[in-house]
Amino acid sequence: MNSDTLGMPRSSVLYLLIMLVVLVLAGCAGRNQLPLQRQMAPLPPQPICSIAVLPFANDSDYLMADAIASKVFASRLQDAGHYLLTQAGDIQRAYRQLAIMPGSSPDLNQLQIIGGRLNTRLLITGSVLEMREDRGDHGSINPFMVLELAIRDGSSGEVLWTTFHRRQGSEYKKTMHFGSIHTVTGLSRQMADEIITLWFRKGLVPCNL
Amino acid sequence: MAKYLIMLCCWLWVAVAQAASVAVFPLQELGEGRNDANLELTRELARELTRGDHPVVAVDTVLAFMAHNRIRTLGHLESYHISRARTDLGAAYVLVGTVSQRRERPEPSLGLTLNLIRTSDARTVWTHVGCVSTSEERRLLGIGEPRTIAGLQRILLAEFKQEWPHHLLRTVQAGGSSVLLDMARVEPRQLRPGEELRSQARLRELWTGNYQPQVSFEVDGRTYPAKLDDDGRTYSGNWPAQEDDGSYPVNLLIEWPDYQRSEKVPLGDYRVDGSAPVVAMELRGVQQIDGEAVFNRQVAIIPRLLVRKPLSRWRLAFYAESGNLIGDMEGEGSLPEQFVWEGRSSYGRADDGRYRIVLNVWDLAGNPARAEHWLGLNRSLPKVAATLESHQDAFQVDLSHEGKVPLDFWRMELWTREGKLIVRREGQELPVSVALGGADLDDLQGFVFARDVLGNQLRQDVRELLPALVQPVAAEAEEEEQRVLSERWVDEF
Repeated sequence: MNSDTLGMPRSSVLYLLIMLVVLVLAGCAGRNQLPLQRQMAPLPPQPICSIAVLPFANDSDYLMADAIASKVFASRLQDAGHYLLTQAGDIQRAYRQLAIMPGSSPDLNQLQIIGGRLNTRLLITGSVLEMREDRGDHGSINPFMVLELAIRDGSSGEVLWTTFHRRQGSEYKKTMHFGSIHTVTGLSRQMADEIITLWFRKGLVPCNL
Repeated sequence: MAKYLIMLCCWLWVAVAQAASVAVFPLQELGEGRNDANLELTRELARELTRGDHPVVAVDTVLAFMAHNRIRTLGHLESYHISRARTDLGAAYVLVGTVSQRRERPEPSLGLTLNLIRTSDARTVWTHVGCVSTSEERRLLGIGEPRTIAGLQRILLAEFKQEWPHHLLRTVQAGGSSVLLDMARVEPRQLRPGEELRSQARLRELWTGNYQPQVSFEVDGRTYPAKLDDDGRTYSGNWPAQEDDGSYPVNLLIEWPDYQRSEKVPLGDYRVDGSAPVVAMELRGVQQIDGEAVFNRQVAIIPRLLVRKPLSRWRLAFYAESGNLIGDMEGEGSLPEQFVWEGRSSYGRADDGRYRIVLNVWDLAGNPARAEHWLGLNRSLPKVAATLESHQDAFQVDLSHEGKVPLDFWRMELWTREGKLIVRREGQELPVSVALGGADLDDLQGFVFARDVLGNQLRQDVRELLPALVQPVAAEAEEEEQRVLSERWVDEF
């Protein structure tokens, strides 16, 4: 191909190519920055085995976004770390005892009580900031989710780590339509895996019991 | 061929016996609300597990369990209910899950999260997140693409089947029952046919009201009723032992009709034994006299079990000829190697006479056996008689034995007063005649010694044995005394 045929000088073509590469790299870099993690305080001393994943809050308009995200996240955390996860039924009972309504989040005082009753080292709370199903190519679904999680101390309820994550299904597209994620459950699983991988990289250790 | 068939059957039995049962709880379906159930997919999951040779608690039974325990929420369980699933349903694992999404439009999609929870410690041991949509299942040529929820469900089930943790469920204790016992008792452990057997078992769990299980004892294919004690968890029962010898395992059969569930808990076993032991006695240190064993100092009684079997107790008793008990001893367990009787009774030294020794033994089942022996006790000394005969100037002593016990040895020695030996004779048998020649009877001294076969010994002075030797001397002395008196009287007179 001759650059003259495009009606622009050779240097301009080179500039455009460089910009294209920079943009692609910037896009990749932007994608790799997520999930974002911030550490307020160190984790309790290892080993950590007992963890309770509390019901997430739903700040999105998607019905049951909290239930989907929290159940998927708890399953993936158990699968990856073999923790002694508190049974969801026991957590629900503690919520009932404290009269915390479904969809409501416990305050710090209630978190302390819950942590004490469930006897866990860590509490994981979360909030689905956004969940929706956009229309993708060929009538498919392109799910989108924004999730914010916090690792809290089991006894004090204080936030130790926070993690922010945002994804949409089309970000995982590889060739043609393959690789894309088309379900909110699948996107929740993918995002949970990415968050857990980050946590392990940052110092959370799987339980060997 | 038959061998391989038997091996295959054994392998299949082991495979089934080692698999742990799973209770599949109704799946929660997140739709408009949080408490919808998807029973169709629940039953499909249970069917998939059953096809994989896993014992699965029937879904209807699980529903009855939920109703009994007032479980109103889906998708999760409290630890308490997980534990109850173990005791009530006998489930080693429970499978709970949520259908996170299921919609036909704008495109069919299905999402599922599953948690497999071990009931022994209420710990989640396996999780699965499955999701599928028609867009994700598109193929290059578009052939065989699923277009409906039903098609997606088949894909999801295949994925579930592939990831199911078979290894976890096969490592559970083989054949173990989920019913825990605090106490189990089967008494006696050995008994005779027809004797009464008692059994008792206390369950750790307490069922109340309508959930009280039906409990019975099962032995050899027969069931016997169990009576519930006041504490609400102890069951007792009794029944006659079988007529045939053998070992019989006892199971506690617990049935929950509402759950179509039954559990068999082994309690122990007992042995029915109707064969008596065979015992004999051997006597040592006795002499056979006139066909009867006789002793004088001690006799060793050696008991022998002709058919060896463990004994529970024994008794050795001694009876006089009249039938009166003169002494006995008893013990538990095995017989001593030997008993030694020194002829003593419970009131002291036993008199000479005939005695009956009776040995009774009982095996562990209580079957008795008996052996008896007559025995003579003879401590009397040999009885030797002697007579003095005179033939012209010569004398002769005739010795004879008048006792019942044969002599073993005898000896007679006679001396003069100065110590000169006149005669010495010895032998084993009596009577015998001993010639004394023309010895002076006034000077005669000596003894007769005799020992019988029992060891009783006699040594007797010859002057005691032959009063005739003493009488002439005594007569002379009396005559001499009378003569002195007479002379003195005459002198005085």
